[in-house]
Amino acid sequence: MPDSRKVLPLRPKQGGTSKRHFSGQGFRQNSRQRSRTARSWQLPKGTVAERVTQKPISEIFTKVRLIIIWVLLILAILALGLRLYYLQVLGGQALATKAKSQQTVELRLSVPRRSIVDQQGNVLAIDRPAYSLYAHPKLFNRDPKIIADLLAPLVQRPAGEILAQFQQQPSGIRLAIFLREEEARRVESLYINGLELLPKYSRLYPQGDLAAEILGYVDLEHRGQAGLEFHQRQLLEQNSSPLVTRQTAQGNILPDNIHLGDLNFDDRRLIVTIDSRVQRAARAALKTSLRNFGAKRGAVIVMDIQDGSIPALVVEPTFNANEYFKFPVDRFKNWAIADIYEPGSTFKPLNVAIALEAGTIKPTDIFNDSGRLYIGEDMIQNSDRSGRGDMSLTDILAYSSNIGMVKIIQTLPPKVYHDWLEKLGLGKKTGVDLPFEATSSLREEKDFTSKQIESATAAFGQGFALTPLHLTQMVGSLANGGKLVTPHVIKGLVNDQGKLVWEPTYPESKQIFTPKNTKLVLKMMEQVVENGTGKPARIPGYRVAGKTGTAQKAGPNGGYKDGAIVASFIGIIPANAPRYVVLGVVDEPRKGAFGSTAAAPMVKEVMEALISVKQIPPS
Amino acid sequence: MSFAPRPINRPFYQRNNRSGVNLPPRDAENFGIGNKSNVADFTARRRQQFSQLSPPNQNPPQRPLVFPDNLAKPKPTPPAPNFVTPTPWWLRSLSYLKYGSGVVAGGLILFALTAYGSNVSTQQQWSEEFKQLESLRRTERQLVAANEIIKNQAAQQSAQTKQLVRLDPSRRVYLPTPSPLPQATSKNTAAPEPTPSPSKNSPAPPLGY
Repeated sequence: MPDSRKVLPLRPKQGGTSKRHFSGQGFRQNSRQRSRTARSWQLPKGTVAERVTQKPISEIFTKVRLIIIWVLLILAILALGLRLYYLQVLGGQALATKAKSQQTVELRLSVPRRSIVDQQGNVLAIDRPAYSLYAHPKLFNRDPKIIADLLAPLVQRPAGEILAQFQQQPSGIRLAIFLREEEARRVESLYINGLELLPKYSRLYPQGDLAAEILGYVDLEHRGQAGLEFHQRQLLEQNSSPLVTRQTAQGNILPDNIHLGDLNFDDRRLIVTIDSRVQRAARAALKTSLRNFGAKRGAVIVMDIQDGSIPALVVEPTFNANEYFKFPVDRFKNWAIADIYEPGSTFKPLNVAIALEAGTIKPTDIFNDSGRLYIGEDMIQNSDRSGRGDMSLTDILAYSSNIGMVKIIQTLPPKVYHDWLEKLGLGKKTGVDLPFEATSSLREEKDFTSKQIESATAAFGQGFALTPLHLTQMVGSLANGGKLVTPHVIKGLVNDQGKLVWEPTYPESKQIFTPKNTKLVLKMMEQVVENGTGKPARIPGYRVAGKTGTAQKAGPNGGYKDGAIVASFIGIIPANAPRYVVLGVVDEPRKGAFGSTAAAPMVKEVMEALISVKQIPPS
Repeated sequence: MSFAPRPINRPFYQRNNRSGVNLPPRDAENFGIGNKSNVADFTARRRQQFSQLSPPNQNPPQRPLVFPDNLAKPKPTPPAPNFVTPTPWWLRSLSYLKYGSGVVAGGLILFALTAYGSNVSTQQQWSEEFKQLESLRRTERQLVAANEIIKNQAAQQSAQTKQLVRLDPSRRVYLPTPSPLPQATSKNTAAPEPTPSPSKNSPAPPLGY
């Protein structure tokens, strides 16, 4: 820089100097030294105007450059400020909402309902991963017709129908509700924009209709609508509160506000007392019986007499819970629990036990069966219209004598008899853990005391009504020494190791009869199978107690329905050390069918299955 | 270390150290600053550079540059008293504090970076593991469902086929419960016979399967 040196010569004290001069010479000084030098040197002489005019162009450029940069920086800061104002103030709320909706995710869908397993751990109901397929035609990147053709085999619908749906609306068209995993993967592999797969769970009942009357079903919204699925919602819908957490742009879920316990949702399964093997055998036997006798419907109930657990409860006709929408609504009702019927002769052993317990008869008493008996204006007769003369209590049961039973009950004051029926639980519910249980019906006490016919008909199991399950519970009390146990199907919750972690509590069993009297009645019932009407239920090598029943069916407008009967048989096995009570009911079989023909063989078949499955040794 | 009045009016090149503090001659010698030959070399080199940069016809500066050789006669300063003031404890402690806090700050920065990095990577790992868990759960459910469906199909087929017979009590074989061993029922439990150990001489008795 020779010019600058000329203009501003290096004149210490007198002339002053310029920092540029030294730096221009490559003089290695640090800034501290330079500033100190500037302070210690005098400014160049001359007026301001002179000095300005003397400034080189490069300095002017430098200043201009500085100004330009300054302006640019200020503009940049202003732009950033404006952008910030827009982001934070103008669009702040909308953007925050948008960001939140993108970043947060609800894990509700990934929480399955608890599985239901039987006593052996066979799965009766399980949540299976499934997908809903939605289409948004406005986002399609290919010809809708081609897309429809590609999707048709996957959703199992005609391509034309799918194409017609595409034209209905631009977005949010539901193409399939329950796509399976493999189908969903195939849809994904098509790489079509505008198709959306939403993960969810579909309830699967792997055993089909095996236990549909107990389990019920879940609807499209995954809500239980019948059976245990409805009644035990609290147990099955384990953790329905959604887990709100964050997700990344790639859709990866981040552990934000998630506790370890929140994710351990699927360990426990609901275990029921149902034994699939017995249930299967019972269903097969019931189906055969209904088919053979052209009956309208039927039911089989097996109950453990000690604790009230139910290894099998079958109702026919039933439904397949996997395709519940294909069945009429009345199939969803478990009529063994929800409907009441007149039990007929199957109730007679209980009446004998009541009379024995009340002390109005002795086991050795003899009653005369004249074949016909008038109570006021009403006539009572035996089903075979004949009289058998003098009969012991055992004979009365073995031949199901109506006249004998009426005479036994006539030994009891009507009020006492009514009280006993109430004590047995008539007029109440059993308290079973299944939904829609019907209350059994019993006439009011004043009717019983004022009308003799009421107690007379009740003597052979008519004039009052109860559910088949209720009858099973009552007869169970004869087998277990006089205790009324609460029938139930829920055993508890088991963890993944198969350990029972929760058990429901049921009311304490109520002692109704003394064991001495129940043993006497049980022996009488054994004779029913050995020598009486229950012969078809005999199993060689085993002592079986039982009682047949053929009751008229009450009509909708009062009185009895002409020709309609309910044939039933209740059996106890083994009679020497009772373990199970089995009730078979056939509703409206063909004419000429009885409890002994329509129901007893069916119950025998179920008892044989029980012997095999439960390893019951010969008596 | 001694302090001298600051030579404000001395030109920079006459100073022999950067801080403007005059070192006593001995210290200057130690640092090689006051070495005459060194200074002379330096200024000679500078002058050479300067002359190379300047055009030859340029007027020399109005006043010749003075060389430190001419002026740098050391002032007749009195011999500096040779006392070394010990560094005060607070200065030392501040110095230690400075170094210590520097190390701590470095460590903290390292820790913060590590913590942040591990936090991010842990979340990513968790996310991947969670995905895998979900996938395994789904697979498990599918397998369980498939297994149960097969079981059901097998049961249905067995009911239809006539080659299989129903398991009823008449086809079962019952074995009576073996009577308890005499030793167990014997009231005389005082001296149970010791189990004869198989001797080497006697052959092992057949088990009788």
